[in-house]
Amino acid sequence: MSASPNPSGSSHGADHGNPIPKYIAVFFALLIATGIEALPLFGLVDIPPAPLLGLSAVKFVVVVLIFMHMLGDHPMFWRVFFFPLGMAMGSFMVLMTLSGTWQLTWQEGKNGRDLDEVAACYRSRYDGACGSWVKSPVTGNEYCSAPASLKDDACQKLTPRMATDAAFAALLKPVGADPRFEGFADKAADAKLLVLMEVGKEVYGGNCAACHGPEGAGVAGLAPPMAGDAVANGASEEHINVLLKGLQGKVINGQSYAGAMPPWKQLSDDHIASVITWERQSWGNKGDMVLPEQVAAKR
Amino acid sequence: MSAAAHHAPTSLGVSHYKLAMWTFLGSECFFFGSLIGTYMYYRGKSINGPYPLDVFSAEVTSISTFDLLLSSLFMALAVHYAKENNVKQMLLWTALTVVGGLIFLGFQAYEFTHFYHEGLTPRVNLFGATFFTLTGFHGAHVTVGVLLLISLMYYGGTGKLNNLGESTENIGLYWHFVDIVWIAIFTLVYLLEYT
Repeated sequence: MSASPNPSGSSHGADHGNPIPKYIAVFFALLIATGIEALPLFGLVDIPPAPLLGLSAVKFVVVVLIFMHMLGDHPMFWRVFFFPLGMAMGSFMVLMTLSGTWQLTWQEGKNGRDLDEVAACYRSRYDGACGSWVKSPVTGNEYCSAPASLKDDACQKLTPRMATDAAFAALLKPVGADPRFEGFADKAADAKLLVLMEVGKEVYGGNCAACHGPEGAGVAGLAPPMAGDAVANGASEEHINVLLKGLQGKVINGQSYAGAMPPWKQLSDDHIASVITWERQSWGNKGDMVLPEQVAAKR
Repeated sequence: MSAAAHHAPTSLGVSHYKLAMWTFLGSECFFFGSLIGTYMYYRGKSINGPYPLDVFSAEVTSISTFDLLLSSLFMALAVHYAKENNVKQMLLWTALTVVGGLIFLGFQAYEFTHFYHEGLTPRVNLFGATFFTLTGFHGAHVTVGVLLLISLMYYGGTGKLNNLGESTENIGLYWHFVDIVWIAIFTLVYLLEYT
C-alpha cells in the first residue's frame, strides 16, 4: 500500500508522492471490510457484535488517517479531533454502563433469536423465585403476586429485544380474546378482581414497564411514576382516557414529563381494564377496580 | 515537512481554516456521540412496533453504505487534484462526490418514506424517535456537504478561491467525517440488529 515514488512536481503533493494508488487501495480495503460486515445482513454468516464493532472502528480510523490524511499531518489537528472524540466515546460508555444497557448489548448472545429458550426462561422464572403465590380461580394456574423486577431478570439478559420482538410477544400474549375472561361477566367482584390483576400485571410488564418502570417509578422528565399518582388513585374515567387517547406534556408537582405516551386502543377492553386495575391496586395505590364494560363505554 | 510550509504563515503555524474545521469536527463528535448514545440507550426498549427488523432493508442499507464509501474515495481524489491546481480533474471528482451524496440522500428519502408507510414515525415508539433523529441529522449533514461541494465547484471552477487546495481539503474533511459517522451508524443501528 506504499505510495508510488514519482514526485508530483507540485508544491502540495510533494509530501507523499502520488497518493492515488494508496487511496484506491484503501478504498478496496474498506470495501472488503464493509462487504464482510454486510454478510449478516443477508443471513449469510453470523458475526457477533464485538468483531463487527472492532471492524467498524478500524474502518473509522483508516478513513481518518488516510482519506483525511491525519497521518503525517500536524499534531494539533490530531488533538482537537481525538480529544473530543475520546470524551464523547467515554461519555457514551459511562451512559451504557450506568444504565446497564452496555451489558445487554454485549451479553446478548444469540440476541433473542432462540425464542424457545427465552420463553422457557420466562416460564421457569416463576417456578423459583417468587415469595407469594396466588392460584387463579379462572385458569387454575398459580401466579406470582409480587411484581418481578425486570431489571434483574436473567431472562431479559438473554435478549435486549425481549420486549420488542413481535414473535416473542406472540408467545406470551394470546391472540384474539383472552381465554381467562371466559364467563367473566358472571363472576363475583372478588373473582373479577383476581382475573384483572393477573392479566393486568402481564399487560403492564409487556407494554408499560419500559417507560413507567417495573415498580411504577417512572422516568424523571419523561414518564410519570404510577405509584401514588393522582390519576391512578382518582376517577377511573380519567385513567381510561389516558390509556385510550395517550398523553403528553403532563406536569405533576412542578415536574413536567416530556415523553409522548401513545394511545393503547389496540389493546382489548379486557386488557385495558386489567392493566388499569393493576395500576390502581399496585404500589400502594388505592384506586378502584375498572371493568371491561367501562372501557368499552369510553371508546 | 512542517504543515506551515504549505500555507501563509499563521500564529499557530497551521492553517487557521483547517484547524477550525478539525475543531468543528471535534465538536461534531459530541453531537453525533449524543445522538448515537441516545439511540443505543433506548435500543430494544420500544414496547410497540414497528421494530427495526420489521422495516430495515439489507439491500438499501448496503448499497447506500457502498455509495457513501465510494464518494469518500472520489472526495480524496478531488482533494488531491485541487492541491495540484488541476481544476478540471478537481471539478470532475467533486461532481462525482456530489452525485454520490445525492444518491445517498435519495436512498434515505426512499427509506424514510418506506418506514413511514410501515407505520414507523418519530412518535410511534422509542425506536422511531431515536432512529429518525439520528439518521435525520446525518442526512442533514450529507445535505450540507452536498451544498458545500456545489458551492466549491462554482467558486473553484470560476477561479474565485485564493487557495483551491485548502478549500477543497477542508470541505473534504467534512465530507469524510460524514462518511465515518455513517460507518458508526451502519454498524450500531443496522448491523447489530442482525447479529
